[in-house]
Amino acid sequence: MRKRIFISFIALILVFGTLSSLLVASIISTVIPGQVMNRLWAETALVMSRMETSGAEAAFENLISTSRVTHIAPDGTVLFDSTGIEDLDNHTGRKEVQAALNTGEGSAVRYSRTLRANLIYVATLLPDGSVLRLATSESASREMTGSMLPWQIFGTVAILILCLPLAAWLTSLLVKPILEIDLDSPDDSLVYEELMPLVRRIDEQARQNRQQLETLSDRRQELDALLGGMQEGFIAMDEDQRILLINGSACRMLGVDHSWALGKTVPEINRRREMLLLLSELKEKGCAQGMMARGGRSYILSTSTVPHGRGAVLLISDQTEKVEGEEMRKRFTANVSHELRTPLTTIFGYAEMLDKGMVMQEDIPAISGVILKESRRMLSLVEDILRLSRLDEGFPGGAHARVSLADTTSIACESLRPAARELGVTVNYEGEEAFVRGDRTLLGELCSNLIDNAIKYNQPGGSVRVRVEVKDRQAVLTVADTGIGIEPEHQPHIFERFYRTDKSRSKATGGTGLGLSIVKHAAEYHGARISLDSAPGRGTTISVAFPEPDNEGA
Amino acid sequence: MRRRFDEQLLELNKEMITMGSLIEQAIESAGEVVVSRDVEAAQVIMRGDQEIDRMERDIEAMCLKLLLMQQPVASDLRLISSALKMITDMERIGDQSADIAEIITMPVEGDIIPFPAQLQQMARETAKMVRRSVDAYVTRDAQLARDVIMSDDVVDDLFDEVKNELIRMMNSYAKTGLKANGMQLLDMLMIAKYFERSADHATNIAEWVEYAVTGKYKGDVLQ
Repeated sequence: MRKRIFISFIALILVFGTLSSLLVASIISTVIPGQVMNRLWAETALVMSRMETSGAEAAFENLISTSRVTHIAPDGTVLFDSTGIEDLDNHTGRKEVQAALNTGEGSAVRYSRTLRANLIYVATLLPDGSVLRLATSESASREMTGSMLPWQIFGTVAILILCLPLAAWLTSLLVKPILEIDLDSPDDSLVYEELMPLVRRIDEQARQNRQQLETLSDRRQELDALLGGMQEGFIAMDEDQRILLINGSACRMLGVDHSWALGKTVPEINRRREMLLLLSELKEKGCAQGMMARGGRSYILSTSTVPHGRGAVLLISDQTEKVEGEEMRKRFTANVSHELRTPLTTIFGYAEMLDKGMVMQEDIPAISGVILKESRRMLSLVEDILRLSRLDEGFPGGAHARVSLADTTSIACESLRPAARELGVTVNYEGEEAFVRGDRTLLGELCSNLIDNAIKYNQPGGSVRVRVEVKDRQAVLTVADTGIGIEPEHQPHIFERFYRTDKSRSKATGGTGLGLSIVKHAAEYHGARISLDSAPGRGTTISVAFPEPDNEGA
Repeated sequence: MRRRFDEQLLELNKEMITMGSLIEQAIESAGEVVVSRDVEAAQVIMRGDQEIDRMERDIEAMCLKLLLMQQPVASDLRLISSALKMITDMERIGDQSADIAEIITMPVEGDIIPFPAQLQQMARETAKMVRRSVDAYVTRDAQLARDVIMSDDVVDDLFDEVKNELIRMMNSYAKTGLKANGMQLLDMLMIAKYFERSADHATNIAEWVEYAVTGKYKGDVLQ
C-alpha cells in the first residue's frame, strides 16, 4: 500500500511537471510570433525612413537586416528582393500584399514557396503606391522553444527529486493510522472513517474465531476424556496408516509412549506379524479382525476404514480373561470327564462281572464295598461340581444373613471329629464370638472343606488347630495343621480346580480336588481374603479374613 | 514431485519394517525350535525364508528405482543406500534361521542330547539383538544402534562358552561311547555358529542405522 501511494504521488508529480512544461512551450510559441512581427514593423519603419531620406535604391543597397526585404510595385512586380532571387512572379496574390494594398498594412504567417519555409510577413503600403514587405523565418520562435526544452526537463527532474522526500513523508502520514489500528480494540484507536466497517468486520470475525476455537478445544477435551476413559485401545489412522489419535489404553497395550507414537505409522509402533497381516487385509477388504498376544496377554484387534473417509480406526480389546476363562473351562470339562470316568469305569467293571456271574460268592462283600465307595466318590464329585457351577454363577439364592462364624465352625469341627479320630488326628477348636454377613450353608462348606483338608493331609498323631477371632474388627478363621505342607511351587495353584500336589496320595484320601476351589469361591462370595502360609514338613496355615459385618439391619 | 517421493519413502519404510518383522520372527522361532525340536515349526521357518528372499529383491528394486529416478541427496540418500545394505544382512539372518531350522528337521540317530544352556541363552541374546537392531531402524535411534553394536561381544563370549561346553560334552560322551552323539554335537556347533553369524549381521544392520541417522559409518564420514 505504502509503495502504491508513493508511486501514485510520483506519477502525479510527473504528470504535472510535463503538463506545465507543455503549457509553457505552447504559451511561448503563441507569444513569440507576435513579438517577431513587432520587430518586423519596427524594421519596416526604419527601412521606410531610409527610403524617404536617400531614396529606394540607396536604402536597399545599404540594407543591413536579417529579415528578407521585398519591394513590390503596385502592379505586383517585385522591384527588389534581399534574397537576390530574380524572376519572382507577381506578388499581388500574396495575402499580406493584398491586405497592404487594400488597407495599407498586412501581415501573414505562411509557407513561402520561394524560400521553402514558414515565414512571418509584414507588408506596408508606401506613399508611392508600392508595397514594402519584410519577412523573417518562423523557425526563430521554434528555436526559442527548443532551447528551453533541456531547462524544462531539468526543472521537472529537479522538482521530482525535491518532491521525493515529501512524497515519502506524505505516504507514511497516510499509512500510519492504518498501521496503528489496534484490532483487539478497534473503537479505541483513531481510524479513518472509511475503514471502520472493515475493522468492525474483522473484529466480529476474530470473536467468532475465538468462539469456534473454544468449542473445538472443548470437543477435543471431550474426545480425549472419552478415549482416555476407554478400556479398549483406540487408534485412528489416516490412509498412510499414520497415527492421528491414540488413547492411553492402546499405548499401554502396545507398550509405546503416547507422544512418540503420534504421527508414526502403525507398523512403526508395532510390527508383529499379526498386526502387519491385519493392516494388509484392511487395505484389501476395508476391515479386518485378528488376535495378538503380547506380554502374556491376548488382544483382539479389529479395524475398519472410516465411512466416507480414507482413514481407519483400530480397536484393541484385552481378551486375556475371556481367553483364559475359555481355556480354564476347557480344562475343567476335560478334568471332570476324567474324574467321573475313573470311578465309573471301576463300578462298570465290577457290575459287569456281577452281571456275568463271574464273581465268587465270598468276594461279593468286597466288591460291593468298592462299588459303594466309588459311587459315593462320584456322588460327592457331582455335588461339588454342582456347588461350584452354582458358585460360578455368583451363588444365586444365597443369603446375606448375620451368621455366627464361631457356631458354624464348631459345628463343622464336631462333624469331622470322627473322621479325624480314624486318621489319628486331633482337632482343637477355640474361638470367640464373631459374626459374618453371609450364607450359613456356604460358610459351613467353607469351614468343613478347610478342616477336612487339614485332617486329610496330616500325619498320624498330628493336630489341627481351628480358631475364630476378631482381629481389627474383622472375623478371622484360621485353620492350622501339622501336616505335610505344600511345596512353594504348588502354592499358587492349590486353589485351582482338580489341582493336586501329589496325585497318588490325594486319590487315596478320597478328595475330589475341588475342595479348596469351593473354599476360594465361597470366600469370594463373602468378600473374604484368604492367606496361605505353608512349608513342606511343617504344616499349612490358611486364614480367611471376613469383612466387618455392618451392624445396622442385622 | 516431492510428495510422490515422500510416498515412495513411506512405502520403502513399510516394506523394511515388514521384512524386519519377518527376520525377527524367524530368528526367534529358530531359538524356540532349538529348545522344543518342533519339526513343524522348523519347516515353517524354512518356508518363511522364501518370503524373506522375495522381500529382499522387492526392496532392492524399490531402492534402485528411487536412486535412479529421484536422485535423492543428504539424509534421503543415506537412508536409501543404507536400506540397500541392510536388506542383505536381513536376508542373511533369514538364511541362518532357515539353516538352523533345517538342522532341527534332520532325523537324529541314537539318544537326543539336550542343547547346552549357553546355546539357548545365545539364541535368546541373538534374537534380542536382531529385534533391537530393527527397533533402532524403526525409531531411527542412533543410541540404540550403538548399544546393539556393543552387545555383539555378549554373543561372541557366549559362543566361546558353547564351544568349551561342547568340548566338555564330547569328552564325557566319548567315555560312555554312545553312538551318533558326535554328529549331534557338531550340529550344535553349527547352530551356535549360525547364531553367532546372525548376531554379526544384526551388528551390521545397527551400523547402517547409525550411518543413516548420523552420516557416520563405523565412526568415519563416508564420502
